[in-house]
Amino acid sequence: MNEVCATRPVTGLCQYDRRDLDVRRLTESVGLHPKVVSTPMVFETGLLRIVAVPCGSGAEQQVWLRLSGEADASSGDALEQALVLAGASGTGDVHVDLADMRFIDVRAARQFTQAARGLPSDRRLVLHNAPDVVRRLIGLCWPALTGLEVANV
Amino acid sequence: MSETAEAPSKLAHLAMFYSGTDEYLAGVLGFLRDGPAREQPAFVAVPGHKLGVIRDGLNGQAGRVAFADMNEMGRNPAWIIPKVAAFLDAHAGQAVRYVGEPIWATRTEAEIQEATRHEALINLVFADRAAAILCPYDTARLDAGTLANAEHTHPTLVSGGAERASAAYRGGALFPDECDLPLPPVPADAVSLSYRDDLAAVRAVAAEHARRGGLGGGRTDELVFLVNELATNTLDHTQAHGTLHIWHTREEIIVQVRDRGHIADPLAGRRRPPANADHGHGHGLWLAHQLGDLVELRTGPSGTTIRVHVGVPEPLSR
Repeated sequence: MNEVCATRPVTGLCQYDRRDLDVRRLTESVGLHPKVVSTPMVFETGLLRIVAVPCGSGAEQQVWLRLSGEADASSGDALEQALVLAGASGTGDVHVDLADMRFIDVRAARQFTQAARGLPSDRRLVLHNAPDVVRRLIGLCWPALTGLEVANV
Repeated sequence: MSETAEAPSKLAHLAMFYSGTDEYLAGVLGFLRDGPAREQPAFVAVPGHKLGVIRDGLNGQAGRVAFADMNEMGRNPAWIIPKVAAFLDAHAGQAVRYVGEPIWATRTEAEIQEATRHEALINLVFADRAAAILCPYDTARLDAGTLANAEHTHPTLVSGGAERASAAYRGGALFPDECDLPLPPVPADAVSLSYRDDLAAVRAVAAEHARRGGLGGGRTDELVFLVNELATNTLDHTQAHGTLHIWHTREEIIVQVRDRGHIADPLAGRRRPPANADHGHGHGLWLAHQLGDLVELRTGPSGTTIRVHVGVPEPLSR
């Protein structure tokens, strides 16, 4: 489709229901499109709820993910999905607000670091309101990580 | 100690038996400044009250030696290997000397067992490193069993300035029997919970008991976090239920997770997992060792028990 449309004044909109896609398929479909549009979305699994809100206008589109509840083994792929879409649909930093989180496990922290590594070098993943235990575990497991910023409260 | 000192292309791991300050200083200072040692980067981690005399004895040479108080750095013996590895990495390509004294007489029995395990793991984790490692053992204060284990865990022994191969050395992956004795029984009044995927319940029990045991807010969050990771490992790596036990003494909170898993790698959780490690026991066990004050692990084909001790801050208000 990219090739067919390359020289023509056409705007194509392909719609995907993310509920039908696992993380691998989602990442593949995102990779096939030069531009990804996503509206405010809610991801909910287990004890975790994520609201994704695109913001900013013009050239730099940032995405805010507001997490609430508890991220543990019951959270499935929700966080990974939200991070993949946030990275693909924005053009600026990805912000993750942890203010309303009661618990965050190391798997979720690992997904933050993977998402940060997946961003181009001029974009960062910024964790806001990270609990002390999350700061400590990131320091213990990924002391030299670039692309991830833990914002001071 | 000439031969090992001159051929540091691979690991030399020496137990030095000493009695009294003079013998201690002669051995440690000789190791740090004689022959090729004079040129090599060195790291000294011994109980804090001994650092002063070593520094003084090195006169002008102390500048090339890094010092650490083993009471802090090795309070949990599992913290030592990552610190030594960081020093070796910082001097990659060079022969390096390390004096490490992880065992002293006033340590608890459990700590001495884990420090002995640490000594055995050094042979495994640094096998290919160009490092000479000297571990002082106080023959006047340590008991016979502890001294005998030093002969099991060190390929080379030094006493009275003379080096000899240890006939009792067990090789890289074998631990002295004391390291794998069954753990003392769980007390009858410990809280017990059988779990599978209901990790929120595991966390609630851990948080409630940490508070009752007198742990502060920040340490409670860390305890809840590490219990959750150990229980998550049960979920990820076994098909069966696990059992959580939690209890406290005046000095510490103790949590234990028992499941049907088998951790075959004796170095699991002893080194920081690579930054891009995606899954595995890696991060959970690593964090249990880093966040706990002492971790005892017993594993075999019939299952794994991990017991984590977390010190209660003083003063106690009970």
